[in-house]
Amino acid sequence: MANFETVMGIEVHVELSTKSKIFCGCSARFGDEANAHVCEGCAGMPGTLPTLNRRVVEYAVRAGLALNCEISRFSRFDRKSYFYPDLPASYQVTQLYHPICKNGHLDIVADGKTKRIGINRIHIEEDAGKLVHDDWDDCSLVDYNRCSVPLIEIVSEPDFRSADEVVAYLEKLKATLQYLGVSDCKMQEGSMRADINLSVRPVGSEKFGVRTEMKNMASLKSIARAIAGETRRHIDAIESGETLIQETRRWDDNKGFSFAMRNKENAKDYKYFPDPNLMPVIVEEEYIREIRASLPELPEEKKARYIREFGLPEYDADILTGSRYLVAVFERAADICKNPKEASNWVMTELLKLLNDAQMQPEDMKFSPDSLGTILNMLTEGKINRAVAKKTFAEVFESDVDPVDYVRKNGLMQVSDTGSIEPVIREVLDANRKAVSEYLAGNEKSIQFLIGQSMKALRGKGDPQVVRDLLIKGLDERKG
Amino acid sequence: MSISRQNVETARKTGQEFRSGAVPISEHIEKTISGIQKEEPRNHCFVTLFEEQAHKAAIRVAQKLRSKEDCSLLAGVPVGVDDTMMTRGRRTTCGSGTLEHFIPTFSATAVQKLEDAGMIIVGKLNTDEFSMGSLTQTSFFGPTSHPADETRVAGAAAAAVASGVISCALASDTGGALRQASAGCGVCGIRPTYGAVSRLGLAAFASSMDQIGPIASDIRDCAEILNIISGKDPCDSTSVEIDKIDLSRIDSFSLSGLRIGIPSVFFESDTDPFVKASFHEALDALRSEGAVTETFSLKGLDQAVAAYAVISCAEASANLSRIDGIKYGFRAPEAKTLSEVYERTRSVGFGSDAQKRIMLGNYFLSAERYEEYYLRALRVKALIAKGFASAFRRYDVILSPVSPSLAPKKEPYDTLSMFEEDFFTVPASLAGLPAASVPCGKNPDGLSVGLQMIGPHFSEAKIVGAADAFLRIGGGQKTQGGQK
Ligand SMILES: [Zn+2]
Repeated sequence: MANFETVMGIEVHVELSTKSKIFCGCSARFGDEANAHVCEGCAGMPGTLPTLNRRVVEYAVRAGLALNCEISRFSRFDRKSYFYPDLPASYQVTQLYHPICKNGHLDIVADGKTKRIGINRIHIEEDAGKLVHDDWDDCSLVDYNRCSVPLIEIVSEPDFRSADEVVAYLEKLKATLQYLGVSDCKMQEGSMRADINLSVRPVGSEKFGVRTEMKNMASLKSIARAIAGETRRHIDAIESGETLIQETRRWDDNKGFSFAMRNKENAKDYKYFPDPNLMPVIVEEEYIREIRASLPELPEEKKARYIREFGLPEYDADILTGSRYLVAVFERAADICKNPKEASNWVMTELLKLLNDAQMQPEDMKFSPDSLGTILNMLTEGKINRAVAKKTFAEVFESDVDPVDYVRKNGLMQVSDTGSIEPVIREVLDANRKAVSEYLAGNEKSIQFLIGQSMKALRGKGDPQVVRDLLIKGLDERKG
Repeated sequence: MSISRQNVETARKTGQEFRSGAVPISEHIEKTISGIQKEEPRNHCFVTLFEEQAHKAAIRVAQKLRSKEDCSLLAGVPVGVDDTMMTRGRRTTCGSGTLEHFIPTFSATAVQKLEDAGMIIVGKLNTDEFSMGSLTQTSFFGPTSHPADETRVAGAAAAAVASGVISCALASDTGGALRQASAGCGVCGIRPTYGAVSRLGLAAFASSMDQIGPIASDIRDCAEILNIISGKDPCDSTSVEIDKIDLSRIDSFSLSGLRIGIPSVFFESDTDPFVKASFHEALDALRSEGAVTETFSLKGLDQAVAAYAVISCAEASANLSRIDGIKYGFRAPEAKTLSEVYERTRSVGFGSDAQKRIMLGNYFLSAERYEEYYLRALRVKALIAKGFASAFRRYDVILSPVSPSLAPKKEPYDTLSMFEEDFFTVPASLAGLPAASVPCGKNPDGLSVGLQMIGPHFSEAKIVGAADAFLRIGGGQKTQGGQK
């Protein structure tokens, strides 16, 4: 069997998180009632005209600069025509001929190696609406809320050779765009969507194989599966001598197979031409300079700084900086407790575990950014013990309680004065004579049992060190 | 009815009578509407009359005038509006069966400005389907009759003004419809510089050339209306600010020393002999007042009609795609599937001329033809614009006839030959230049000829001055001495 390699390029559509749509004043908010955000303009009424939301250009330039692109001083909008009920004007405004950004790159780490992925272009366009099928009446309804929500499409070079690289790229892209504040990049809400162009060729070959494009992938996991599935299909076809055709396919994640989209889809001629209603976008050097100066610290720089300044392990720094939302929790906690390592440990263990258990993404976290720092301070000050700290943090994560309030209301303050603990210890030693005699007979392990019993009697609030010290003291007394 | 310019009052005079209290607005509006209704069966100028709304507006404006509120000179004056312009809450058909019952939810900026100025919109004027044509031949509602000859067609805005039922109107001009309508009926019209009047609310035909302008029996009324509707509109990115025309300076405009250029190809064209003669007589009249005429060659003019056809069809094909039977307007009732909704709605809803242009546009924009047609047309457009720019370093205005022929008969037409009628008017459209049409002759059958005056960008004041001076000296009219 010949050795094949997969060659992939990715087109990523990202909805920009501007307040209003790209060409009208309608809100671009996600998740509201169908057709709550529609005006004559985005509904394609006759006589309407687009006016460009300047914020969209700013966001696209921010993304372009962060992705090391050249910013076009002159860019322009084109119409892409096709009929579909979710496209009210029957053309989408996009940038085919003169995109706003070109020739960038993004460095990713996959399989332990750093790789530079080329970015061919970034262009601005408008989103389409959504068809909703009403099974009750057996008809389709249209929701125009997403119509004219601004998008940028980031088109990579065909630089990917494995699904790991693709996933690493998408994760890095997502983190970067979230840092920039230009998009929330929620794949499940459709604010980040990826189309994969894939071809297969024998290793060593310079020529590209026949390329297919896969759409409709809703998560990183399904993208990885789609790449594996489509690669297999290509190799099978090549090996069995079948002809592959260049086409657009839809990945069905349930069936684990891609299906060719209607042939019409593939034979489309979009009749692109410059939109006469919109003036070219002219970007001045000064404007680019201003935006560049306003860019936040990006994942790479941040990671290096975490390692350098805080002495965090590279792995931890990598995970932390992978999401601006984790960064926000970490930096605030580190700032409050003045102990970045401890803050990092909590995010890396407790927070990631909580997120994982709840099947949530970092961007879905809702608790107050100060809470973790407050908990860590209570912990170092000895006000609570570690177990209570974890419990409190879980509560914070779950329902955004105020940690100080929570600890007080539930009486979880750590008991560390010997005066309150000593009587309890005496009772425990009296009640557990078997364990006591085992310890005295040399079985040191039984002290764990006694500690547990004491903590139980103290309802978890005892300072573990004090409890242990007093137990040993009490046991020593009984050696007699 | 006979057309006599004398019995048509200027809009400015009517406005003055309202302000002085000599004539009550309501009474005048009532008279206007009954006048329209009387002529309508023969003229067929209006698609919709806003009788009730006009009466209410009349009362409102009269109240404003009484309380000495700030009103324009034309407050209370009835005006007709081409049916391609949106009128909020009032039917707007765009001359198309697809929008036969369409009620827009907003008004075109130009319409809104007229109403803010107190002008009263009495109804919507017949129009070619989505402005695709010049003389209402493609209207879903049938053609408008020429005021002088019922067997011939006319642009509705110009015909309504010429027949005296209204003194002024708003029309749209893409390749020359406004100018040709004005010329055919012997009234005045101005297509302003591209961008001078907001296109918001004008149903798009060819967005890069569509413009709204005034038609009136009097060129100064045109200027007055242009002053009301022009200006930058934040809702139209292609609109620009423009100086208002100072009407008090028009009287002093002198033709002496006016440098006039005439592209030589305009003399070589296949033009009706009467049109030709009228044009030459107009030039004679101008020269006799001291104007200097010169012919020159303007590169690309011979390809102007072709370039215009390509660009306008291309843009129209995309602009009209929104008429799909999904959101509003006509939907073929028998359509079952989505593609049937599109195909049947559009093939039944649009008239044959619109369908032809849409198909042509799709062809010109198709991936294999884009360069050969569309990009080439853009190059011709740029060449013509450049030619005009350099010509205007030597000339104040460029003159030509408006239409190569007299008003055509009501008979089947052919889309391609219709484009040929635009020979004189499309160059200014392609270059985005302002151009006026002023009457310069009338043949014994009462069919009129227009003189086109094209100026540099934003030279509306100069064009109005020259046109007014030309009309003051009797223009081409005296050359038909003794005719009606
Ligand atoms: Zn909107």
